[in-house]
Amino acid sequence: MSHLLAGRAQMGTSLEFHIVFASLGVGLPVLIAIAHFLGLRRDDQVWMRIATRLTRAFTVLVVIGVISGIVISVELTVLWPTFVARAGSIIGLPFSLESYAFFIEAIFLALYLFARDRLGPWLHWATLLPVCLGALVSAWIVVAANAWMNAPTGFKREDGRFVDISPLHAIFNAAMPAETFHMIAAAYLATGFSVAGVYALSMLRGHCGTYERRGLGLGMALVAAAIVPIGVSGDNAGRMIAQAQPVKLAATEGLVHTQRHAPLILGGLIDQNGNTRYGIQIPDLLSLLVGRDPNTLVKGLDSVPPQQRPPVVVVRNAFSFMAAAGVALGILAGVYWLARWRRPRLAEHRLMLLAVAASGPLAFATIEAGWIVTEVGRQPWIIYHVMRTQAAITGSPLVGVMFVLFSALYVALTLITVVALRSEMRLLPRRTLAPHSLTNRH
Amino acid sequence: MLLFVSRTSGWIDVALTVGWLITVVIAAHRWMGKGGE
Repeated sequence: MSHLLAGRAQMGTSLEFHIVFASLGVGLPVLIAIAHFLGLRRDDQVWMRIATRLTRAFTVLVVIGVISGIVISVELTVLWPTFVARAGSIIGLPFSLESYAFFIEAIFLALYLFARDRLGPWLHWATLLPVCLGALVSAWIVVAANAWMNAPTGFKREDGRFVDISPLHAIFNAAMPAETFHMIAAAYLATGFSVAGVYALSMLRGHCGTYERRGLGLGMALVAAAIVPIGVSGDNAGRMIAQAQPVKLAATEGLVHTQRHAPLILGGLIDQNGNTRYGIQIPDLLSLLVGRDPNTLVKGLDSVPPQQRPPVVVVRNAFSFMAAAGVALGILAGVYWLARWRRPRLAEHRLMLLAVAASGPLAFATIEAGWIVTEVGRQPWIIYHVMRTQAAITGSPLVGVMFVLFSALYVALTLITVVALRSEMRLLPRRTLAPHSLTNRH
Repeated sequence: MLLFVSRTSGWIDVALTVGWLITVVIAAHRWMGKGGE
């Protein structure tokens, strides 16, 4: 493995690990807040029980997410010192603001967990709102920093240095709206499917009470809320990429030649030159999607020399997987709610529950694929058309060793997460839980 | 946030998203009214 590839693999592994916890960190507090609200409003112990169990899981996930987040911030400096030295004055502000957002989230989470006895019921519930907001802002601002790498703005270049820096212009770059909107919607969607999946598994094991049904419905309600925004933002992201990063779009769509009436190719096997075999071509559709007009000119891979193209096979396959899995998840959500509306018994059919149980991991695999498209699709640039990834990486010969060590760390963290979650859930039996026992173990 | 989204996506997308979210909230409210099961 080359020096550069080892560095990219390490950063990629770290981000792919962290995004699972970050996404759950955005979505879970919303579900907890809803369940807790219903529990208080209706004086309902079942909803309180759901809120309590989700809170326990959330607490474990936050701890692991903090560890993996710290690792990433260290890696940014250690692996990409040139990038941090040059771009630090531009993206330093969003990262600092992200810290504040996280502090707000952490402080109010601590209040929610430990100050219940000192606050009234509704004030205690209200401490969840800054947790939700902090997680949301945190996600928005970090993804905005990533969007800047895709559509860099807010500076001028002078002798290889960045001058006249405007961090606010950098944050509000052209890629920010679609990218942040898409990722936040994906976080809610994946959390919804994951929570619904856990309760679906429980129902498959024979526990089909009010508790499980409501838990399943709660997760799928968040899915329902996120499903249209993710479609809208996905469409926006595609059009934004066509303008800001046309080569990335060409790689995702397997478009070799710059052309009008560009077709959309579904499936097939692609090579590094962008040639697709066995794919299904739909004439004009790519031009139509990009510019709302079949006559729209869409740039192909041939618009840049081969050395300026990303690894087309990886990008295209990741994108195809993301799109196919996204559509499948959308269909599942539609079928589930249609069944629940018209044929409630069908919504609890074994096959439906199996599909919902599988949807959580599939949703996260979809997010991972999306980030592969975003990051690998930008190569060979770390800052698009400004700095090459090769120029940003550390000269340390230990990158390969670090990759192995950090990979081992993530395996260990995964095991710790599973053990900790199982342990927390065992301490909180499904049937015998006393309501409002957020901090008391018995 | 919606303002920035609207800058690139247009008000139709914003209206679609907001309209959808309102629909989901209303549907969820009715679902909760039936016991949430």
